[in-house]
Amino acid sequence: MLLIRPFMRMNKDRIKSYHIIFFIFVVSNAGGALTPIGDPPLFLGFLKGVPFFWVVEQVWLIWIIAIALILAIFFMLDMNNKAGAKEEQQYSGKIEFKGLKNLGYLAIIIGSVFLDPAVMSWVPSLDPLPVGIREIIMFGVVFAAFKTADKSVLKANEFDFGPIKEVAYLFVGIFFTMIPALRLIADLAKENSDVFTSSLFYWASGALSSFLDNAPTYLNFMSAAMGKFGFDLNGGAAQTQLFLQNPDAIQYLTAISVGAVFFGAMTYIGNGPNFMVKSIAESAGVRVPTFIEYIIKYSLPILLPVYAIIWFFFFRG
Amino acid sequence: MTIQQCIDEKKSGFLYGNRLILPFKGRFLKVVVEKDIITDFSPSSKGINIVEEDYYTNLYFLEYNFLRETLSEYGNIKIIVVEKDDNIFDVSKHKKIAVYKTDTHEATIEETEHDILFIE
Repeated sequence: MLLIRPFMRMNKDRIKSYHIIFFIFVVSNAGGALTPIGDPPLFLGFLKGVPFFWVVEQVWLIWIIAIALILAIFFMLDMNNKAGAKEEQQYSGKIEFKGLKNLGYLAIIIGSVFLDPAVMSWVPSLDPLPVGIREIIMFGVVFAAFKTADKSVLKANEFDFGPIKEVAYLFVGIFFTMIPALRLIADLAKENSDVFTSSLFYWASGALSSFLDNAPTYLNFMSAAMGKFGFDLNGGAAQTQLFLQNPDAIQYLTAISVGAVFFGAMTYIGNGPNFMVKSIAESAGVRVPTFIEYIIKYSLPILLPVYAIIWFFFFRG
Repeated sequence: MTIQQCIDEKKSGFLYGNRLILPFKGRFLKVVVEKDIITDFSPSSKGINIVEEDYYTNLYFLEYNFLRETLSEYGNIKIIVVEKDDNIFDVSKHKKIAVYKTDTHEATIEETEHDILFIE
């Protein structure tokens, strides 16, 4: 999401709505499939004991193929866009960083991601409080970054809490309304885990991640997959690591991981950043498709065939 | 007064309720407020009604009650406008401006050429 402004600025003389859509496809979603800090479901898996580099080891080839296919489609669309091509651009050749100190804040945020009692035993748990050390650090950094920010940079970025508020309201609604659906899935998954195949894990986690939040969807299907082998998701990291020693388990969890992350791009509500990117693009004057247009004109004809190819070669069966 | 003179002389506009008063007259092409991209300025438009007076212009934002509350501290209303005497078909004459609220009803007007991202 941080990259949407530079991306729009680079393409400002030729930007069209499909630029924003492909940014959502690649940068906000599919691109994040490689590590637990790339997308929340993988991070939840990490907290449950999936090793940090396990995902990249399993997913790298799928990731390369999916990204290459999406970018190839983007390239074909973009070849016809000649807007701005004739205009001579003048560049100063000077590189200037504004707000460089924020990289320090960002480093703290990324570092604090790992401050979880499940990952580092020396990190104190703040149970029964709803937040932990990590969240306190993150909120502290957010507050400090906002208070110490250069006002001219905030103005140039048109800083506004609007997009994050919009996502927060939306996802509060989604989280409340998804509880019954997730309960149902959890029960179905538990009762029918024997008949679950990697195909089913892939498409089911994908379909639900398209409309509900992908993080709890991932956990529910991971729980079902572990249940097939007699393991309990809440049994600690050791159980997860034992689970991952089975080749079938690896296949199932890979299908769930890819389904949950990739399909987050199918709708604006599949993943939090989708909505924020849409919001930032619109406030910069770029018209982007409506919710239905996005699905009919972009995600169904472009993403679904790509994801079907991924399924055919990696998860069929 | 031309739009360029207003910018150069840092003339202010005003925000009252859903009304933006700009100290110039021009041909409006696009207005962006929040996430609304408004390009229909016809009399039947549900977005903005433009009413010209002798030397200034009123923009009535029909779907907003209080523009000052709508705009955040760093938020703005972005406008693409052409001087009355300029050729509207010459893209180089399209001026991109941003209007910011202040602590009073005054609204500052700035060109968006360099820092503010505003796509035509």
